[in-house]
Amino acid sequence: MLIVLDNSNPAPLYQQIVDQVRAKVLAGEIQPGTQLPSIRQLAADLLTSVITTKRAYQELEAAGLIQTRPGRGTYVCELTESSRQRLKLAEVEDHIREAVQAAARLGIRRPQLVELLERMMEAEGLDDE
Amino acid sequence: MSEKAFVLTGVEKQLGDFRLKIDDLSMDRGFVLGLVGRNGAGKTTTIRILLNLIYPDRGRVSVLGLSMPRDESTIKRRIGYVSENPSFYEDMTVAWTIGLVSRYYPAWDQELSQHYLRKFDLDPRKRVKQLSKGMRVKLALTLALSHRPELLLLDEPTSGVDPVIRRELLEEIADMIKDERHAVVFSSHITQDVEQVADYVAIIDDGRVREYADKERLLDRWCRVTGRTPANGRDISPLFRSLRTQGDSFSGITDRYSPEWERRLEETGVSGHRVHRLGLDEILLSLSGKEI
Repeated sequence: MLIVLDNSNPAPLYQQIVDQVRAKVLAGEIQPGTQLPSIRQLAADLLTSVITTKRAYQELEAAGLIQTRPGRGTYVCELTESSRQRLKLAEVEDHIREAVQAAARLGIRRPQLVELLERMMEAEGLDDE
Repeated sequence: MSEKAFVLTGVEKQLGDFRLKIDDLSMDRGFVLGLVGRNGAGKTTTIRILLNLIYPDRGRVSVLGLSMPRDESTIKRRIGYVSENPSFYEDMTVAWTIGLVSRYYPAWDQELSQHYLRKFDLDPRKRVKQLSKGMRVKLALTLALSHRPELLLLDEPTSGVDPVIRRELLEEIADMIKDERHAVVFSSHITQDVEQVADYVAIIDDGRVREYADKERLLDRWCRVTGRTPANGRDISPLFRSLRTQGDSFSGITDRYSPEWERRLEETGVSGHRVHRLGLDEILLSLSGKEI
């Protein structure tokens, strides 16, 4: 599993691990049932601490993406289509929240923000169905 | 086998004007402790007390479940130490140095020492005085690791060392911990290294432990919060360690950030607030009373 940690990224290291694993699982790059490295192995591979990888796995487990079976290892969960959709939306939700909060700070009004959103969706070719 | 890598209880030591006082510091095996603090804060003294190179005036020292100084020789055989400026017989070769040290350790593994020499690119025929600082540290690390210690103590291992060797040293620290019976304690004023590989962080200032926590929880708690002050003029400073305001903007440092803390902040009527985690260097500055 290829994870790249970036010290200059303001996001905490454990968050970077969570984000990358989540992205790979949702994109299908890591199949359900795949075994993930132990927290110790991952810490050594990424040159980070066990506390960090443990925290990342805890968050991924809370999100329903992975499951640790004591003595057996950590595995990627089987995701139903609806939970997959829910997780994908959750990821986008964080980004949208940041945009809305920025808009609120700057005093941008709803119609302007909606128009901006429509324009961007058009530019990125988002499906209408 | 003791769960604890080390335990310091009620330890006190007076060295001239400097006084070290550690009421309670311990860590389980399987983890890395980073000791952070300014020069002269007490990091080296703490490590030396664990090694019994300095004998405390008061208190109890236990290492790997054994008692210092009673079990000193047993403990010494099971730990590896790299001091801040490792000293050697400068005119002697790397190979000779290894031969010298190997005799002190029944568990010495000569093949392992050769493995490290190759890994670290250390020429056994080179004389110590020909080695760069980074190579000297790697030699010291070879000597520390070749008897398969359970606890590794490193005093400022990455200071004054080039980025490539710094990386090699951090890799060895991370590698050591793959075995959960092992533990590492390293001190560093390069907070970035501690932030990266340490599981636990102890911030030492003026001879005392000011903070000791799980690294992620420590970094969660210490935050910079910015935003606009409440329109009703309510005083938000009780929520912060330090606060700066200019006009209706504020920037404050808290060491108690949590979702509940954030709710209390919101209740005061602030608007547009943003929260950023602080880096370990900034936490150290704040604890030293510096404005950040």
